[in-house]
This record gives sequence, structure tokens and C-alpha cells, in this order.
Amino acid sequence: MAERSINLIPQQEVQEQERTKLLSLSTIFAIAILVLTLGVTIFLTVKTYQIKDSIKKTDANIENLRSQIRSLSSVEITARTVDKKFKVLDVMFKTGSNFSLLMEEINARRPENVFMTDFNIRQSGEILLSGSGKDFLAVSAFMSSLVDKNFSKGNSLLKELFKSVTLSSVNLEKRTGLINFTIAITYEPKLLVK
Amino acid sequence: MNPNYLSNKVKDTVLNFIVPIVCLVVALLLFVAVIYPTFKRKPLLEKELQNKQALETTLTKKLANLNRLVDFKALVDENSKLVDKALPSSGMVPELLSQIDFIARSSGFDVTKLSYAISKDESGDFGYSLVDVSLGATGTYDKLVNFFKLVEGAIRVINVDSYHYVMDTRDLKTLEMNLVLRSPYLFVDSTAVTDEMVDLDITSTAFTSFINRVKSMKYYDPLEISKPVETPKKTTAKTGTTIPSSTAPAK
Repeated sequence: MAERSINLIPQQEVQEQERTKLLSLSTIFAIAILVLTLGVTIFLTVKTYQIKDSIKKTDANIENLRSQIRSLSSVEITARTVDKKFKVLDVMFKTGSNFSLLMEEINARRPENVFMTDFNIRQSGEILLSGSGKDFLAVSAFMSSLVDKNFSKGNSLLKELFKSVTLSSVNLEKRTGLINFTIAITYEPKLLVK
Repeated sequence: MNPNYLSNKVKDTVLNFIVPIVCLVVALLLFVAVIYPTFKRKPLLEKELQNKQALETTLTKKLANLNRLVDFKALVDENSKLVDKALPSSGMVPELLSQIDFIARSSGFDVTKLSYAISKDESGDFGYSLVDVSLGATGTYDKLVNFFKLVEGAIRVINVDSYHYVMDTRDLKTLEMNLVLRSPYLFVDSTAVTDEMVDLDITSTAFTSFINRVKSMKYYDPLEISKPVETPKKTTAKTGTTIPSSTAPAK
């Protein structure tokens, strides 16, 4: 035979007990919220105070450093001037071309029977060169030696100085028997930096 | 009415209604008046602190650097003079022309023309000005190479911008040359900017090797270059118009 539980408390009393329990819980919950809020408030207030205090101390330190630096203003001005000029000069030294190297190299690669009669150069890396040679072979030998990466008589650091040589014009001058030529040369300016 | 019952009723009301309401109201007030504004302001304060600490670090380093420069004051002054010789603050055109003329003559050139113009470097970030010198001369190939070597070894920076020569076909030796030389100068309007770092480190390898390089170059003292150079004609950079030679040199 199945057992049955019998609740003898009246229904109204049960509802009253549940209401009282719920009210107690809501009170505890409200107090917990207040405690939590207070905790967060205290934490944030302390943290903010600490930050403000650090800012105040840092400000004082900054002011102290500034006054010390102000007393060295003449040294600072000299240092700034030297520093700026140093930076400008450093760039110039690292990028400026030394044309003495180029002239020596091109002359080293020139056969004896070739003369450079008109020479025009710009920093951009282009040379327009006119000259005379004893014969076509001499002109050809000059052009080949300019771009010869294994050329042994020149500066070993400038083996790849001349990048290309283009023959613009060539003609035989009957009066002198010389070959007049014009060539366009491109070179690598970076290799002319000492 | 039972007084106990009344007392319990009041107690229940306070506990169950007044206390939660007061708690929630106080919590809400704290949130609105303290937590939210503080929470919103905290990142800004932290950022401000970070910035101030960064500034403090910069100033500390700067002060240390300046104190070090004070310790090496004699060296700094010497380096400053050297750097000024290499890159003067003004054009110092007469001195520059005297130097170029002296170098040209020392190389064996016959100087036929010497003129100048002032221009501004527009390519870089440094904003320096340039004295563009046009030099006309006659000489030989070897003399030209020698001239370049002397110019490259001079303490005042002179860059060869372009050059052109034509050989005399009669002797295949004499060159008629036209060279464009550019010498920079830079006026630094230095002021003591307290909060900015001074980067100069005179003990750095880069600076030491730079100074050694400058020291190895030759300084052409204008007072020692005995022969005076005739006042050249000045041409403006933009138009190329000739201006009477009586015009004062640019500073």
C-alpha cells in the first residue's frame, strides 16, 4: 500500500512563511549590494588617490629637473647646434660622390690611343663622353674595359663602378684619320663614397 | 492590541522594507556619485601619470646627458668649432671663394671664371642653404683629378655638382673646364627646449669617427690664403640674372 504525506500546516501559514523568507532574502541581497558597492568605492577612491599622489610627486620631480636643465641652457644650445650639423654632415659624407675616384678609374680603363675630348658629368650617375680613337677597335676596347668587372689595372673597389656604356655616335674623320665617338655611360654613385 | 505584536510588526517592516530600500538607495548614490565618475576618470589619470613618468624619464636622461657634456666641455667646444668649420652657419662666401680659388691654383689651374649664387636645398629634411659656385678654369686631366682630391679633403664641405670639360684637340692635353660646386651652410636657430631630449652623444662611435674624419681634413684658413680673390659676380639662383659685384655677400 502506497504511503501518503499529509501537510497539516494551513495553506495561509505556508504562504506567510514563504513571504517572510523572501523578504529576508531581499534584505540580505540589498545589504550585500551595499557592501559590494562600498568595497568598490573604497578601492577606486584609494586607487585614484594613489595615482593623484604619484602625479603630484612626478610633477614636483619634473619641475626640479626642469630648473636644473634651465641652468644648463647654454650647453644645451651648443649641443643642439652640434647635433643638427653632425646629422647633416654625416648624411653628406655618406652620400657625396668623390669624383677623383671616378676620374682615376675611367682614365685607368682608357687605352692609350683613345682621348676623351669632351666630358660631361652629373651627380645623377650619367656621363656623356666624346672622344677620338686611333681606330674602331680602340674605341671598342675602351667601351669593353669600362664595363669589364674583371678589369685588373683599376681600383679593386670600383670594379662595378660603370654599369652600362652606350655608343651614341661614331664616325671617321678623314682629315686626321681618327675615329670620333660619343658614348653615354651610367655609373653607380654609391661606389664613389669614401 | 498586543504590544509585542506591534513591536514585531515594526521590526519586520524596518528589516524587510526600510533597510533594503536604504541599502539600495545608498548603493545607487555611491554608484552614480563616486564609482561611475571615478571609473571613467581613472584611465585618464593613468594616462596622465604615464605621460608624466615618460617626461620625467626623458628629463632625467637629458640632465644626465647635459651633465656629461659639461664634464667634457672643452671637447664639446672644440668639436663645435670643427663642425662650424665644416658646415658654417652663414654662407661666408668670400672665404669660400678664396678657398676654391686657392685650391684651384694649388692644383695648377688657371682660373678664368668664378661666380656664385645662393640656393636652398629642397630635397632633404634638413633645410640647409647652398652656395653654388661656378668655376671656369684651364688645366690638364691630372690637375683636374688633383683639384677633386683637394676639394674632397677640405674641411668645409664642397660637393661637386657637375662638371664639363672640353679638350684642346691641338695638344690633346689642355682642358677647358666648367665646374659647378655646391657648399652647404646651415643656420641652426637653437633655443633651449627644456622638455625635448638632446640626442648628442659625443662618446658614440658614430660621432667619434665623424669627428676623426673631420679632423683629418684640411682647413683653409682665410687669413693664411694670402692672395686675395677678385670680388666675383653674384647671380641669383632662380633667374641667373647678374647682379653687380658690389652686392654684399649673403649671410
